[in-house]
Amino acid sequence: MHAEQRRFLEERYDASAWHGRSPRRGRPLKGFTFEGVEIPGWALLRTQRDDREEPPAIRSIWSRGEDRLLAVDLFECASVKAAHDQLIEALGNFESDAIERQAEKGAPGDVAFALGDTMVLFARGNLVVLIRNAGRTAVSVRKVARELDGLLGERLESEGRR
Amino acid sequence: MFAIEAIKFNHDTSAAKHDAFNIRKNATQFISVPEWRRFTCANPEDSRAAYAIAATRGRTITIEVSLSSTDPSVAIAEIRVEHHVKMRPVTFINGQTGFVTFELINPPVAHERVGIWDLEWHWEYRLGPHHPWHHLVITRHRTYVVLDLPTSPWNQGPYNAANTQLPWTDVLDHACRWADGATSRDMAAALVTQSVYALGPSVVTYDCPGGGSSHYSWSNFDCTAFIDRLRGGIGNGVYVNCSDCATILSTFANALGCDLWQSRMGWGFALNALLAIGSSVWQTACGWGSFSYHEVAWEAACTANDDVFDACLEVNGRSDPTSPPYLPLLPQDLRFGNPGDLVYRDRLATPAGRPNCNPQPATRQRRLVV
Repeated sequence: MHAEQRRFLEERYDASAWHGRSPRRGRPLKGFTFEGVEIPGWALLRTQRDDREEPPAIRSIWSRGEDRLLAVDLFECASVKAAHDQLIEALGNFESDAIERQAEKGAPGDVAFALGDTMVLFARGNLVVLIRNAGRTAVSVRKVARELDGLLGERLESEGRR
Repeated sequence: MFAIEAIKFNHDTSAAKHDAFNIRKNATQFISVPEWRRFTCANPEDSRAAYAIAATRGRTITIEVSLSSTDPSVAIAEIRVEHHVKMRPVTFINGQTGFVTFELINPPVAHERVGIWDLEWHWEYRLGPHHPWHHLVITRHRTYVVLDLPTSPWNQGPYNAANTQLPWTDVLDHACRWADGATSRDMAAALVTQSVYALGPSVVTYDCPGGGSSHYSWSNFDCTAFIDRLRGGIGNGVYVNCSDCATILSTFANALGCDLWQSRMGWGFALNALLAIGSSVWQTACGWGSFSYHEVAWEAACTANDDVFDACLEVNGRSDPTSPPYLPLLPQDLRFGNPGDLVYRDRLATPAGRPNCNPQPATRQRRLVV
């Protein structure tokens, strides 16, 4: 990312308040794949893991009904700090200046950003998750974010106990 | 008694001055030479070739053709396609000619405009100058004509199946139709800009629910998904943002020989009312009021003095772009400008936003196609 844009985003999103901070200190989760059961009520249409990207990305498209589509991207970073760098990278690909940090109780992840209830971006441990609408009928993604965050939290805990 | 075994259009893969240039179908399918083969090619789309106007201008275009004969008594025959392939004699040795060079007559590239031509060649033979012509075979071919050799991210080498940045005919199928008839780079880029913007709202629309995020261009250009979307598939969904539009526009235009970049402006600037792709409501991009950044297809060094093409939005083209009434203006070959110039920057950003809406040429790039 362009250094000037990164500085702008760090200031705009008050990165000093959250960058590198996580309540979790365990092993990073690696090798995640979507099996199709991770988001109840949604059908996995397509998933692709790209290990050539840095960090490795798992991109997926989910459907519910005729015109409800979700794009769920997960990035496997090397560390919490790298995950928060990836958050800034992701924020740099939102054209809107209306994305806001979700600091209230119940927000997903260690750090989360959202636009209303139709887009959520969060980091949990070394993982970054971006959940967006991809179909014409926009739906709330909050419940999906909570469910996916819960699942990732369990897997990170499990990884930490190994 | 005679048959055409194969035809090479891109018979010199190291150059494109007298023949077609190097292409592939898409990310996974390569187009090998000879492009036309007996028993396997029936329709024009089975035999594709692409030519660059600038590279071939004033030169004779040739193909290479391999013929066979089942009649051992015939050693020589004359072969032609009336109005398309210049007659020449060929010699059969053990029933085969090997690949021999034929000159094309007034090929599509000689018309010097972008387009797609489906050709149907009626091959004929005769046994000597004073013999009558006889029907040999009909072959069909799809010919793409572009302004110049495709520019980055497209390349011409190495010419092998592993090189996914060879120009894709899946892209040329759309780009050549969008820019049909174009005779200059600016004209082609403008026509592609109009065509991409016109994809809204039926094919794509601006990503209001997602905050204007990149669905097709983070970090490479997911051209495979976008083409799927163009064909009525799901692709990566209906939503696009400015980076997607800039990437689609520049990548498709550069396949025609244009020379555009994807480059950003920023950071954090208030907006005039605009018409985002797929929208019929004049508002400040989903009502947000400001952009964190914006990205367009940009010429040359991507500075304030260089021209932009923006397929993501229409600005207000009136003398006062900051308030109604609105006159939709799709930015095509429009100088970015400085505050007060009343060109692209002034039409996009409010007077207060303009000082933060600066060209960021360090972000200039051409995303790889995947």
